Amino acid sequence: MTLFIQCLVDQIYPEVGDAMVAVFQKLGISVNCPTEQTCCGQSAYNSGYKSVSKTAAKRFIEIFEKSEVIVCPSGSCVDMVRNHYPSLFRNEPDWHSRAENVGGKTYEFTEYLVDVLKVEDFGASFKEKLTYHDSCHLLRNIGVKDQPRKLISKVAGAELVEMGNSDKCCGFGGTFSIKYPQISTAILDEKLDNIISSGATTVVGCDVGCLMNIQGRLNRKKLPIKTMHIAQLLVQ
Amino acid sequence: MTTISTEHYKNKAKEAIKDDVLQSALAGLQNRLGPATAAMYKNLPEGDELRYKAHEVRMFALDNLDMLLEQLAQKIRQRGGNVFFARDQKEAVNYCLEITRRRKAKLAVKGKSMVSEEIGLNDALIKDGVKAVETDLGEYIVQLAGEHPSHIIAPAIHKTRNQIGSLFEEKLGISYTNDPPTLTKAARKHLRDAFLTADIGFSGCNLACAETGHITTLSNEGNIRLATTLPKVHVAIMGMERIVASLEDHDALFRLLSRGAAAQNLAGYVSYIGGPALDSEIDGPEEFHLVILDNGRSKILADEEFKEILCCIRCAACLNVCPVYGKIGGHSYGCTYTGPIGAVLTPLMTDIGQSKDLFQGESLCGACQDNCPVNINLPRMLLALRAKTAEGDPRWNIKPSSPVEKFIFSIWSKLISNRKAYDFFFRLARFGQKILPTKNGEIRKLPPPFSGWTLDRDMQQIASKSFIQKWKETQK
Amino acid sequence: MIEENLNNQDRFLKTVKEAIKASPGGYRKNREELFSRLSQSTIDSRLKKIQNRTRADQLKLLDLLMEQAEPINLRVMPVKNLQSASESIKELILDKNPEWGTVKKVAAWKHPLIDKLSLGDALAKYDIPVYQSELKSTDDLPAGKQMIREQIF
Repeated sequence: MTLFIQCLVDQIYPEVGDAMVAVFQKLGISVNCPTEQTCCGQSAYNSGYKSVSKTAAKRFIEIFEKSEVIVCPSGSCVDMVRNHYPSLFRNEPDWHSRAENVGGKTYEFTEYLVDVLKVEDFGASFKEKLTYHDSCHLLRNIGVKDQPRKLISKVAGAELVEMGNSDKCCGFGGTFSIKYPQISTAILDEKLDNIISSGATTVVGCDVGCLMNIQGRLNRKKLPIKTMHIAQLLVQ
Repeated sequence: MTTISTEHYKNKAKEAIKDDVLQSALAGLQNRLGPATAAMYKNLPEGDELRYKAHEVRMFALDNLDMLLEQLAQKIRQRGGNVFFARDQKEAVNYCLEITRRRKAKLAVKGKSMVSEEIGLNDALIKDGVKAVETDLGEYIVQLAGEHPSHIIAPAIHKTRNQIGSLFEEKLGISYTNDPPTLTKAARKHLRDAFLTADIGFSGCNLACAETGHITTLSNEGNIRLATTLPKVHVAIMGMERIVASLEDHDALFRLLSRGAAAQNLAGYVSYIGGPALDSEIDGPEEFHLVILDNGRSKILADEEFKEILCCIRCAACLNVCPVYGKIGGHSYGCTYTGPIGAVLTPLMTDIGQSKDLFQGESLCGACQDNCPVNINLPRMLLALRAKTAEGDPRWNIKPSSPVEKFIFSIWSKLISNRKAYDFFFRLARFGQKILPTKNGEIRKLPPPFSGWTLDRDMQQIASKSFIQKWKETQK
Repeated sequence: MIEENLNNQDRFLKTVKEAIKASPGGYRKNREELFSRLSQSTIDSRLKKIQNRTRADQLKLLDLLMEQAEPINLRVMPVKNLQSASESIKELILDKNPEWGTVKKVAAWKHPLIDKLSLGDALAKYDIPVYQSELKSTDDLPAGKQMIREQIF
């Protein structure tokens, strides 16, 4: 299994990467991590800079196309590779087929564990009330909804309480949160209200972008609720 | 009819977010209609799949639009109706004023019509001495208050019953009450007088039928039916794309439209209108006019990237789930079309550069497409618009709008192309973050251009060693 | 004005046609293929289905109608015969109060089924007039229509 580490995990949340590796080690699956990888180019693409994102895409394809299987801890990055890379190369048939080839074997973490490896129980235990946040791109563009919940259900002692509107955006939206902070915060505060109403002490998610956003606001508001990536939960 | 600018958008959005009344109204609307619509698509006999069929039906209509419009016009004229093709809002308004002048009309009643808002019909009529009364209850309230609608289907969503009570007390001379049935009855009485004495009725068109030569109107209040059959003259205005080929197409689209708009199986009143009353017919207007409007739509049609937006049937389902609309409300958009549909349509119909906040101020969550009865890929088009402002496009008269941002991303492009450079940059950042104000290990203030983040959020520090760095060390 | 309109139309539709050419979506058809008719056998089978509906089928449809009518406040009243229909409608009229003013008036469409209800007779003793919208003669159409409007409004 080849690890597509995601820039945010690489630089800010390496512990999530550590947890992912530990999960695969438990399954006896050897992990390979190309050390030349940098970024999938999503932020440039979402801001409309197609030429920059093409540069990132070509590099990604070159680094990863020989891998058998690629796994990533972020739904939005997988969305970028699987769904947007081919559209970037719409008029370049060679790159287009290379992009489709790579996209076809790139998986989001929970998608890979549950749908491909068909493993749900990792012997984890975490005696807390948890709630789960559905990241937008993971839910709507990759179609992952049940898989993380299945994984959570097998964690001993963990009580999953669904928050209201768990599938509503947290307000991150990449550069949206920086360019339109008031609107982003207003959306985020509604997410926080839902989290608090659920009574959970921990919010689990599959995308550190969202978690970073939620945790940042929780900290600013001095609320004791914690956020956790699903990989970290599975090694508890 | 647009007042879009970055300043307007940001100020209005700020106001809206602070407005507790509006926030509560928007939350109520979205909580009521958002999830209900999604559930209703699922309980269709055909299931969710019907949306894909509807998408095809609409794209088919766009590909054959010239022939469909020709057929529609021919059939209506055969029945004694008039059809006018208006290139832009000026032509459309002038045609309407020609009619009101010729008929010496003093009073007009209107069914809710976004396209009539688009062309500024009401203002033109009033300037010309014709009183124009909106007959949809929400539009009526908004009109009395001298405001613009803030939602396509629920125009007065931003008003409380107390506000409406005071408004009716002032404008209708009734004693103050905030009881909705009483207020509705008061409006109904006033509107009934208007219906019975109006010289002319204006309506929009939900979806014309080319095959049979009809326009259609849908409502739950019955006001459009009264406005289009009681007065002696009926003028219907339609965006040129609001047409399908055959009657069978309406079945799927109406069922979807009603679910998208109001989470109901079908609207209460569905009317097909194909011309004026025939001589032997007792009911119906003497004159029927259909104004078919371009006003920038043909330019959108000619663009492969954006023609899909013309599939829209104006149900507002996207507004009902958009997290951004749910916070900033309709007035922040400063134009006729709001919400996700407005974020794509308005820039294309006006000026992309000036209205860039509409499509940049979205989180791209994708809820709009999921909720759209015809599965329009709104996120794709929001991204396409962003690409226009980033890299410019002479066809749409737009130059790259942010040279600083472009520069930053070009630097970023170089950094991600070389892991050594990338590592170096982050080593600098790791070092640099030490001088930023922190508390409990969290950064409290980021420098520009990231300072927006730390207005309301703390920021996790960059880790002392990157994952890749640690990996390299363990692999040795 | 008609000629002007036609020139407008030509120009308008030419713009549209050019736009479609610039971004073909793959759905373009010939004029004759646009409104493909249902085959005669499909039409026949649909008509046959309606014709051969059993009473049980019809009652099922009625149930469905009543179920769907509820959310839009449409009251469906199944009755056995014309006499009952006339009775029910009479009761409804007697029961309801006018929304504005005190005078009760009934407007009815000129239609064979409605004629058979003899509503005028049923309501005569209550002094409730029933106006059936009917053009008595085709001599002066505008005047005829105006008279009907005055009766009903």
